[in-house]
Amino acid sequence: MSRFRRRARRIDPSAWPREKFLAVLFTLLLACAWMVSTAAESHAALRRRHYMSLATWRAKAPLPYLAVVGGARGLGRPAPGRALVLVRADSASAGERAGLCRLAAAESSLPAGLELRWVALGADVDPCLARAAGARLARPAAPAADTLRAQLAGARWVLLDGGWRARYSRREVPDAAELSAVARLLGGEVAP
Amino acid sequence: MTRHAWRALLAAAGAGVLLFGARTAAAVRSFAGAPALTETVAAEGARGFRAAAFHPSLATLPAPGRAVVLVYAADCGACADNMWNWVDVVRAADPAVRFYAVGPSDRPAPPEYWAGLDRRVALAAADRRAVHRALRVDATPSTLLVRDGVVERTYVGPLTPAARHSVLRFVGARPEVAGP
Repeated sequence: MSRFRRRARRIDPSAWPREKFLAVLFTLLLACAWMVSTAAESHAALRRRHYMSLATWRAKAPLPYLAVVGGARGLGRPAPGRALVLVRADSASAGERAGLCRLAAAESSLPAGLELRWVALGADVDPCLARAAGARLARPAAPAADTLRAQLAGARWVLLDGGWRARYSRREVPDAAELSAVARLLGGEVAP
Repeated sequence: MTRHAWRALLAAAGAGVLLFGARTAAAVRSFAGAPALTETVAAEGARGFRAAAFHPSLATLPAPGRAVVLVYAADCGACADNMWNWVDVVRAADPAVRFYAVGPSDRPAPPEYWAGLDRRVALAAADRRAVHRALRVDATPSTLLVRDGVVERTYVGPLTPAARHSVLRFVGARPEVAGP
């Protein structure tokens, strides 16, 4: 018989005094409680950090102010005195597709000083939007599309100035009123 | 060990179990409340002091009424990330709200930086130490909400959803106008 088994046979908790038995039991429980509380605190801290990062991410615009979107040059300059709004037409969720279709349908109600450009950087464009935008939907070829996708960095739409700099960008689908209001404020010569 | 010693160890272990149990309960509460952080967290700075008009463009800052001071630097990355919040605040604000933008005089902003917005925002360039003394901010971007010349709130850094909501409420914006 090994030394360990000989020693184990000598331990008989049923022969211990009550206080010793309870003390050993509670010490084991203490060790378990310490491990559980440490794990719970680590998980809670991890989750807190995640949501704090999310709050910080939501505070930032998709494109920094005045970031140059050089990939949009290939889409052509807007007419003089008009502000250019680039809207990404692909990779939209079901709710976003409905909003994009509504925007395309309301395009004629936008101020004269605002020029809307639709660009599809992927194949999944809603048929309603493809019909409404028609020939105005630009589908750049692969290298240009990749460049523009990287530069847009998740933005759904961006207001560009004459130097192809982003003055305003958002991840959400805009409505016509919001586009008009932003362009009126930032578009310089845009007629109200 | 004597019985008394075992009893003492038992009492200590029992207290420890209760303590770690409370620690676990606090951790579980924190875990459950974490999603609300995106709607409640806002880095706040000094408040409750009188804002001084330390620049000619800020002459009307101590006047009665609501005012918003935007402290920025043109070469500050966080300011570029936050400008969309300020654009939303300016376009959604009541006409009665006054806006001021204060930047460092040693690194002035290019003319196109505030193009369009300068119709609504009074621009000032001042020494950083003067800005710190007068407005008690030393980080950009900072958004100060001033009512009747007294700084009601200071938000430091890009406006989180909670801070943005508070600023929009201050300037009298309707939620549907200001957007998400």
